[in-house]
Order: sequence, then C-alpha cells, then structure tokens
Amino acid sequence: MFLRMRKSNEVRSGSEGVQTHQTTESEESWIAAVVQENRNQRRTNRRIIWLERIGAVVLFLTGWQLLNSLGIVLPILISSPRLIGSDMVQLFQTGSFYTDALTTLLEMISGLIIGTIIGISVGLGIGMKRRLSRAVQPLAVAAHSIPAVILAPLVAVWFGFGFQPKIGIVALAVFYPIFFNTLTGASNIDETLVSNLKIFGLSRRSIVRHVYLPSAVVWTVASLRTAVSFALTGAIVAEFVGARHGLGVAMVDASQFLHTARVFSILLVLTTFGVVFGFLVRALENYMFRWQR
Amino acid sequence: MSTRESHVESADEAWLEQVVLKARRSRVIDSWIIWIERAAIIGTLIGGWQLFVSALKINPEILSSPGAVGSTLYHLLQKRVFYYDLRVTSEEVLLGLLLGVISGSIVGIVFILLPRISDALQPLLVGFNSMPKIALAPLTIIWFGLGISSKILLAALGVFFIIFFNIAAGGASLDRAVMDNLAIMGLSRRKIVLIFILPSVATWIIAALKVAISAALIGAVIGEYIGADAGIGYEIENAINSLSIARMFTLLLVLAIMGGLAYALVAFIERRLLRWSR
Repeated sequence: MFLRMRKSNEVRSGSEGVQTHQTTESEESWIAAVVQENRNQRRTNRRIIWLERIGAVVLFLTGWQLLNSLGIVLPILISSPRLIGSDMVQLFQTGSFYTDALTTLLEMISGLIIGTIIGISVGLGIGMKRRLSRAVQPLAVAAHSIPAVILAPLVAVWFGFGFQPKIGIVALAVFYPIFFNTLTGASNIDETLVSNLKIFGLSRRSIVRHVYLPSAVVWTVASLRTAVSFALTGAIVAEFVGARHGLGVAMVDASQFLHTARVFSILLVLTTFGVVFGFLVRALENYMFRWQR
Repeated sequence: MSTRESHVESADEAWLEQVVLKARRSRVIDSWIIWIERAAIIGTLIGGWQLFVSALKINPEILSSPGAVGSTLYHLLQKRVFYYDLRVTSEEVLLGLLLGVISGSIVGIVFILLPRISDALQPLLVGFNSMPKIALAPLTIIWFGLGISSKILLAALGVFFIIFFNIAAGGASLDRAVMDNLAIMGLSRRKIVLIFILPSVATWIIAALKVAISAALIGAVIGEYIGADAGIGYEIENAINSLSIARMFTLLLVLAIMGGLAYALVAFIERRLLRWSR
C-alpha cells in the first residue's frame, strides 16, 4: 500500500514537520474490502473447524464400529458403538441404574463439600501460625506421596461398606489437594504486611477476612479442579473396594460377567459426570476471577 | 574466597562481618530446630497411637499398634514372597510410568506439529480428559487378565493422559512465529523438533512428573485391589480378607514408604535436570 499525498489536504504541523495522510476514497474502499474478506475468512474457518471436529468424532466411531463388524477385534474386548448404544438404552430402562448413578453422584458431591470445608479450615488454621505451618509443611508433602484413594480399604475395614464411609473416602481424597493448596496460600502471606496491619489496630478477625482469606481462596480455587477429579476418582475407587450400590460396583459386576458393552456404557456415564463437573468448576473459576479480566 | 587483609578498612566492615556470621550460625541452628520439630511431631503421633491403643484397650483388629506393626514388618522382611510382591508392584509403577511418559510425549509432540488435527480432535480430547482413568480398571482386567500387564497398562494410561495434556497445553504456549521463522530459514522439520520443541517438552514432562508418578501409583495399586495375583495391593486385600489387620497396616506403611521414595526420586530428578537446563 503506497501512501499518496493529496495535494489539497496536506497537513503540516509546524515545528516537528510531521505529515499526516488522508486516505483516498479508493484506499478506503480497499481497506473495507480487506476487512470484510478477513471476517468472512474467519467465519468460514470456524465453520470448517467445527466440521472437522464432527468429522473426527464420526471417523472415530466408524473406525471403532468397523473394527467390530469386520471381525478384526472380538466384541468382548472393545465392544462397538452399536452394541454400546443398545446397551445404554437398556441401561436407562433399568431402575437400579438410577439408584446407582444417584448414589455415586451423592457420594461425590457430599465428599467434595465436606473435604473442601475441612481442607480450607485446617489449611487456614495451620497456615496462619508460622511455626506450625513450617513444621507441618514437610509432613504434608510427605503425606502427599500416598494418594488418599489407596487408603480406601482401610476405611472399609473401619467403617464398613455403607454409604457414609464412601463419603469419607471421597472427603479424604478431596482434603489432600485443598488442604495443601490452602496451606501454601495462607503461609505465603507477607508477614510484614500482617504486622503492619496489627500495628494499625486491625482485629485478628478482620485480618483473617481481608488478608488470609482472599489469598487462600485464590489457591483453593486453583486446586478445585484437581479436587473435583479426585472426588470422582475417589467415589469410583471406594465403590470398587466394596459397595452395595453405585456405578463403580455396577461396572465391576459387568466386567466380571464380561458384559463389555455395559462397562463402556457406565464409563460413558461417568465421563459425562466428569465433563459436567469440569464445566461447573470452570464456570466457578471464571466467576471468582472475573475481576481479574 | 579472596584473601583477607590483616586489618579491616573500617569498623563498619567488622560489624557487618559479625552480623553475617551470626545470621549464618542462627540459620544453621534454625534448620536443626525444624528437623527436631518434625521428628517430635512424628514421634508424638506414633507414641500417641501406642498410648491410645493400650490405654483404651482398643481391639487390635481395629487399630493395631506400632508394636504389632513393627514386629509384623520384621517378620515380613524375612519372607521371600514379600520381596517378590515388592518387585511386582515396583515394576508396575515404573514400567507404567515409562510407558506412559514415552507414549504421552510422542503423541504430544505429534500433536504440536499438526495443529489442524489437534483442533479437530478437541471435543474428543475434552471427553477423554474428563474420563476418570481408574474407571478403565475393569476394562484392563478384561483385556489382560489378573497378571502384571493389566496393572502396567492401567498405570500407563493414567500417566499417558497427564503427560499428553501437559504437552498439548504447553504446546499452545509455544511461539508459532519462531517456529515459522525457523522453517523459513531452512531448518528441516526434524531439526526444528529437536532443537526447538524437545527442550520445552522435557521441561513440561519434568513439571508433570510428580502428578504422573502419583497416577502411576494409583493405577498400579487400585488395579491390584480389584484383581491381581501378586503385589503389595494384592497382599493388602488378602490381609483384609483374612482379618490380619496388623499385616494390613504394615503393608500400607510399606506402600507409603514406596510412595515416599518415588516422590523423593522425582524431586531429585526435577532438581537435577532443572539445574542442568539453566
């Protein structure tokens, strides 16, 4: 694009000698055309991308179905979209499925809530006391090396295979990341800031509310995504170890009868849980950090 | 250290030296005190456990005691089967980790090099990421039976997803302009990968290693919980079924130590490799 000066509209500012340029009409329409083309291109690109995505999913499912129909792999091993589809229809017609799904969902949500509350309280409580947090930190790191779900059989031995112990296992699994992050967030507070606020006469309660809580909450929300995935994992493992109701039990039962289609159906339901909760957490993150954007 | 003059320039310097020495000394003592505090806390927990159990005469079937755990451990260490189980579980974790890291990095790098395919597979990836990986445990047992391979696969699956998603996420932060410039300058695709992408990939893998080894541990142990014929998790299930609670506690302790060692190993690797990359 060549800059052309229009004689009648030359503008010269006095001392600096800067010359501004007025666009000609042909240049203006050229610019407008380029911008419009850009917009169209972007819109087409987006449509293409969505088509590609749908195409990828279709390709995946077709390939899977072909592996089964052409007899390349036994249906017992990987089942097929068609079998899984028909099994899902059957699944949604059995009453026990809804009991199982609700049980798992409730275990997960209750454990998540309890674990988060306890994790935040203990994390804040320890994080606010300097010496205690320094001493506890390495222990927390060490405890971090044992994933909480591994202790599931222990909880089962102590409290049986009922509904509440499952909540306990989920709460334990959720507690770890939340506590650890809250502890880090609370103990990272600048000590001089707190001392200064105390000198200014701020009550301990206000200090907690306005200094510790916001910092800790940032760290907690950051760990919420991990916590939610741990909650789902914890609920499933808790049911693996032993339970009467729940999707995990249904899955183990199905696998023992080699009902692979049923296993995949339940896997799909669990994945849906994961997706929904993932969206919820992301929405929460966006809400909490909206002032940052 | 430079040689010191026999006389200091000024009184200020002497005073500064004293302050620095004092700070250094107090820092050393401080770190000792921290270790003493930690040992004290652990000692209190163990002592409290013992006190709790003996004072309230708790049924050993419920809570066992440090003494019982100690003696069981001592007896376990003399059985050959214990070392076999240890080896099985360690193999599951380490091989799963290795397999997962290698496959995750390869697929991850391919993903970075083919941006259109990564865009197209977006929804599938979101689905796979939200899938709880241990839910695949019954599936691996259908596929590979109760042997060691199903646990290796389960561990590897967990690690694969973690490493792959870390690399994919990191790849989005790579500067495409630099890559394009390198291509324009005439670097072959292979060289671009080696010189530009691999170092970043290595950093992302190391960053994700802690989470990855946790996933490998979970995969291996949970796999053993629900169906196995050997391994520490398998022994734990046996101990529960035969109501040998002391043995269960001992084995959980062994598992905890294994986890701790794995973590220490990863932390060591992290520190070493990060220092080297600077």
